[in-house]
Amino acid sequence: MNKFFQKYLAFVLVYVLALLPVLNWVRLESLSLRFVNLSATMTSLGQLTGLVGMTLFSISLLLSGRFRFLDSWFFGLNRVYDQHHKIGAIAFILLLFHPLLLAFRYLTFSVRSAALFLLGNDLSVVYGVIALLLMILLMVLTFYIKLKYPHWKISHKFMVLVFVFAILHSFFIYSDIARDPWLRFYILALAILGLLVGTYRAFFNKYINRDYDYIVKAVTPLSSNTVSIKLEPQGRALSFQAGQFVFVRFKSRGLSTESHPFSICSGPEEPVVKSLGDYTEKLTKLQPGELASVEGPFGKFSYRQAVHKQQIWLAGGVGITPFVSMAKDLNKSGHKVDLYYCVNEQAEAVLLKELMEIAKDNKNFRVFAWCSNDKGRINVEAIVYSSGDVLNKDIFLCGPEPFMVGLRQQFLKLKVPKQQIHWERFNFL
Amino acid sequence: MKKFVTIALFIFWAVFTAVLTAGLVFYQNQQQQLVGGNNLAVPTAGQASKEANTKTQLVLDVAEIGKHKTLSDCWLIIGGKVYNVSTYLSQHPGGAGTIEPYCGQEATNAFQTKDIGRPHSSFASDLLKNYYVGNLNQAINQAAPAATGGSQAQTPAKTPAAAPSSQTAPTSASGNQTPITLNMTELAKHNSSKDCWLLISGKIYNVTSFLFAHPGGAGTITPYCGQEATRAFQTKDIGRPHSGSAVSMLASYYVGNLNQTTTQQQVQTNIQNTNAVQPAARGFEDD
Repeated sequence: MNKFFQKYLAFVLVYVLALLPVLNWVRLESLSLRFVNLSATMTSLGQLTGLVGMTLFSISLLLSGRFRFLDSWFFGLNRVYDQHHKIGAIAFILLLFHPLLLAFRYLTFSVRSAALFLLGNDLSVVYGVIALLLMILLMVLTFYIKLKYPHWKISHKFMVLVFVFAILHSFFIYSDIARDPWLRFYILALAILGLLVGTYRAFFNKYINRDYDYIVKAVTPLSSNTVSIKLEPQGRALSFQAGQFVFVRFKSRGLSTESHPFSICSGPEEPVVKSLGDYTEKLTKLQPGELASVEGPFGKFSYRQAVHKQQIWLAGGVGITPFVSMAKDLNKSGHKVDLYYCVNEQAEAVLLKELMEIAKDNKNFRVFAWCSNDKGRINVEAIVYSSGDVLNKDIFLCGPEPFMVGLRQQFLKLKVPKQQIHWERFNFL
Repeated sequence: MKKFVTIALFIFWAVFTAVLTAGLVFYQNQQQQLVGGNNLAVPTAGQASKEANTKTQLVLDVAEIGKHKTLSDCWLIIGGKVYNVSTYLSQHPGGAGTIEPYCGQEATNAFQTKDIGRPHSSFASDLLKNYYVGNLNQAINQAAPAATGGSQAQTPAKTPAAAPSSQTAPTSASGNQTPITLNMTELAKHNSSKDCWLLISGKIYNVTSFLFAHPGGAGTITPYCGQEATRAFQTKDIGRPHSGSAVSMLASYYVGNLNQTTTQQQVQTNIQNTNAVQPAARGFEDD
């Protein structure tokens, strides 16, 4: 129960934060007046969408902070980012309807007044129009135009600018925020926090941080999209649990100064990180001796948090990386684990050899390779066939979204309790 | 989530484009109608001579504005535009007294700084638009000669809520001394959001300039424009009465009693007088 409470506390907190201004808005004026007729109702809904949209926008920025405490509150940074996406998208939808609902009142006069209103009939409205149009542009880039990650990341930084205009709009416009000191203070506090966090994350994190300094020892390409980088600490060393990941920023010419997520693939003694995607190609040009700053560790994907010591690990393609780290950590803990390494074809299973080595020394750790080109997609029947009973085992999933969702549903169908199924998305950004 | 975002984006752009397009087209049509109706600021020579009998041109120069320097007839120049704020004076949160020294004069700086170095709210600026008469040095058509009709100039209906235009009665072309009877027929003429009279407890009120400021939205009042609205006012259509301050506010829009015979000029004076005597009933921040 306590764990359940903990698990949902952060989620509840987010929605309470968003709901508080609504309650205050209700207190400000009687609802019968606010919803007395169609025109007033539209105006009221317009005010609400603005109020809640702005609150959620602030919260979304707060969640973009990549703070360690958020990682533990939300049980994993990927869940923080999930919420960041979800809340950001809800805020965006609400803010899209905000001007439309408010324009209704003008429409009862004339279409022209509504048109003028939508274009900004006052400086404070113009701020809002600029913010919304810019937000639309950035959201279109996010949702529909698949930019390469580094380009998208730069584009997404402009959200802070959107937010600045949104704040100007909120505080210069005549509204309940202007009228009620409590609401004013609340929205302002949340907005300033959001702005600070957003600005820090987008622009200043590079210069002000508590990252760990590391030096590149060796760079080994494992396949066309996987590279293993061995790092050595300079001064403070990161302490992490097997299964966690870090963000690394390489201080090398020819590489962007943005940080990228890396899985830790080694035992706790010396971090070896592995990366994927088109960034990998550039990483192969890294030279030993170059500097790296490491932020983290993040993630709550650990076999130690499981209910049972008998476990099934399921990796889809590149999702194998956290399991390598966990496998190396296994020896001393008395766990009994079956790892299924699912790839399309044998050549993609770049870490299979390494895993086989580990399995050789640990009779409680078995590795099954599964190539879907030969055997079709892996399913629960195949797992039950090799591993026997699954009901009293913890299931760990890491891989592409459809892979995890599909398998999770199959396990639930077999009545495996929810809390025994753990998953982590690999490409969560 | 992407699905919802897509739907929301689609609705947004559909409505946004529709309103903008319609708004622009509508405006162009309106412009053309205005040209046809000779209501535009500078009529062509032919039109001007044709209309010379009934309408004279009024040039909004400094001298003309200087004539409107009293509490009951107060024009201001703000940012190169001329505003007739006579009917608003009593509602000014800072009191009519703060505006009075500027009547008939340039008041840009006073409006922008409130004489205390702080600007008015955007709501106040919006409200000001309701009292727009014309641009400085612009020639506008006047419904009746200034000498006989006092000071109410016809406004070139620029904003949708251009209140002053309604305060000059639509029959003004025939002269301000024409007797009019405030009967149901007359009341019914003022039935739009641009010219809205209400009959409440046997009294007629011109609430045009208030429509936009109504906390319940203008839409709650407009269905009653040109009609009996006693019950609607007393119950707000939801069975609850208006506040005392709302009742006293209403008084400032008084035109006359039902079936009272009066003149255009009297109607104007009534509006202005009641405004001038009324204590500041409402502030900007009431909405």
